Amino acid sequence: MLTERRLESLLEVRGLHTYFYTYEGVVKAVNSVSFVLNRGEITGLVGESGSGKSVTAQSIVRLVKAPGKIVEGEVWLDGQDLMSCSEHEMQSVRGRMISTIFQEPRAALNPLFTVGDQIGRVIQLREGCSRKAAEGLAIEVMRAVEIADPERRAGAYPHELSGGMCQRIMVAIALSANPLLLIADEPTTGLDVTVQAQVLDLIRLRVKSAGSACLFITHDLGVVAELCERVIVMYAGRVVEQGPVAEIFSNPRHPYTQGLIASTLRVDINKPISTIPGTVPDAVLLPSGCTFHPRCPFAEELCEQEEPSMAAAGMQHRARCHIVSGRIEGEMREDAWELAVAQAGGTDSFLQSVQGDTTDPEVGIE
Amino acid sequence: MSNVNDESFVQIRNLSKDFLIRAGMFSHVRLRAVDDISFDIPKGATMGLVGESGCGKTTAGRCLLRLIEPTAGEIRMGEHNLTSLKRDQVAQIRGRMQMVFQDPGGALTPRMTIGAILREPLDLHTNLNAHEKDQRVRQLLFQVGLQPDHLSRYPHQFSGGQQQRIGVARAIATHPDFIVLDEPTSALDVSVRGQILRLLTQLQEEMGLTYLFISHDLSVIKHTCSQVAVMYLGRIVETGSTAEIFNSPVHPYTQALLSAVPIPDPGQRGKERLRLPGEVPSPIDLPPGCRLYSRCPYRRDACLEPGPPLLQVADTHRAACILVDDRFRLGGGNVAAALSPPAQETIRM
Repeated sequence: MLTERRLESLLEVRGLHTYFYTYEGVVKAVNSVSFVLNRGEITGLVGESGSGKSVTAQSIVRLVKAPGKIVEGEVWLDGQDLMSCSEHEMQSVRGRMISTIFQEPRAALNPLFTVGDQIGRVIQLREGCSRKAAEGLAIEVMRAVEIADPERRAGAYPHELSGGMCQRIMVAIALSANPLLLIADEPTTGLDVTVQAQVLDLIRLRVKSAGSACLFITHDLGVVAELCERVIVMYAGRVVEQGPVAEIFSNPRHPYTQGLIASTLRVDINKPISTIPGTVPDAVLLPSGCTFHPRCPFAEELCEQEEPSMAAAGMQHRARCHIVSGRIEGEMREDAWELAVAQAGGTDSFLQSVQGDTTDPEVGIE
Repeated sequence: MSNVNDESFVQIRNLSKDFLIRAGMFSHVRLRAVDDISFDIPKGATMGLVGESGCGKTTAGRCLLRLIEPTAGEIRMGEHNLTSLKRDQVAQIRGRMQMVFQDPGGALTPRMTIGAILREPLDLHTNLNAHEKDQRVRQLLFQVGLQPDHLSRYPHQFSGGQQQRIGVARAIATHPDFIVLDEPTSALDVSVRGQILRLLTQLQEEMGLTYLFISHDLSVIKHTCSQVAVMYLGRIVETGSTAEIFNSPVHPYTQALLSAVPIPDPGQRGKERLRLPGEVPSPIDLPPGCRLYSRCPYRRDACLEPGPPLLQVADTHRAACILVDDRFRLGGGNVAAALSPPAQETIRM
């Protein structure tokens, strides 16, 4: 799936480590994360809650809150090293070069000002134009994101608008700057599907027409399949697999990615409900070796002892697994996940073997 | 779902619920959250109630258990007519109908241990002695896949998936016949969601439970329910077997809802979709006609008249759209053809 045109990289993240120093211990929220974002491409960052996807985004714009700290790593945006920028320089990077959209649109808007004011303020700061002119531009921006009757809606406060409308306004504010990079952190979680479809269409259209890069954070593989060109899968602070979207979905190589795809329910086909046994590990006490090994149906002794490194799994496709690197003999078949679970005696007994023996209630009573 | 028989166990007839919203110091406006809905659930079956936020699905579920009082209509569960019972009589049979809530952490009292949480329904609804209660609590933990040493722990010491297991254990503690599941998996991660869905299906088979499964997530509904009702702005717009609703949806709203669900397969990106413009209108002072009128690509003047009622499409399949009616049908007798979206209304992506 290698296209003729050369992809131009815009953002490069190298060896990023972001740790949180809590009372319970050090949480390695982002652990040696590296990736590249290309211009004109939407990259999906996928993972379950606590996998470190949002902290990765916060680290790129250097907005990690205490007790979190970027310990190590480089972030290059269009040839500029963001980690060596002063706070003052970062302020001009945020909003102008990198825009962010967050999950809760109402929480991100100021409830005391009308939405027209808030869009206008951003435009005024950036363009250095008069307030009057900014107001006019704000209405144009609202029209561009298909808000009906923008002249009237510009005078509305955030609580007077629906969640979908607020999110479209956030998209409008974020994209009005024509940023080089758009970071969208679960922008459609909490929106209804029909409204989600409208917001996704809008993001796709605007990113493509502006030639920006987009890092789209989500836990929904359906959204990734519909929107993204490239996928990064994170688990417990680490990138476990990355590659082109078609490759990831048709030929996932990391057992976690396989499990995620297998447990995603679909409206278009019938299949038995599959699941990944166990839960995401405690962030302070990560398992030894491969952090996924306690939940992995393919795990062997080596996985417990040694953490795998990223290995090539295909064209621009890499996965962090001993089977992919060839250190463990293993056959990765398309139905490998179902097969391995079945061999372990069905999900439920596999589940029990993972969670520890469940005592028979009759025996457990004195 | 082996225990399903044709006899309906839960019967809802013309259920409505109004809320009065303060509009001024002395004036109120009426918000009809649930508007004249009727459906049956056979014993041992799962009925899915699906719709977007604000469609009235949660209100309907709460009315069913009389956690809130319905404004009009009749609810029957087995031999009981729930709407004619007094509140204290409802409390007496509450052990037979239970609910599992969306936010598993918020639904468990943070100051009570798991043992105390599970013992509470037994104290209220059963005459078991202390030893029997102890035994039952341990059995419940085993049934939902938790361990006996979890009994002395507090809710915050568990993950979301485990908290929901506790919520399920509490719901089944009193051997209920009927459980309303209100978005039981929407707060959970994908990998854990499957575990809870399997648990619910397994318990249904073991205990012969009847479920009302409320969700906004069509893929979850498809994999757990035998029948589905789709709600929009307080009304049921389409109902039928899961296969009927998912394979041949007739109502434009159901079609749009289904085609808006992202498919986790990049190969299907180019498929045609039916997109509804605009957003759900305010549920206050709705016009008498079809609720979808303002967003429907097939709308015509007749849609503004009061109604439409649920019209039969096939066997158990009914839809509230005048295009199902012969008089308004576009192309011959084929409903599906009449309703396939007009070319200019679909967009390619």
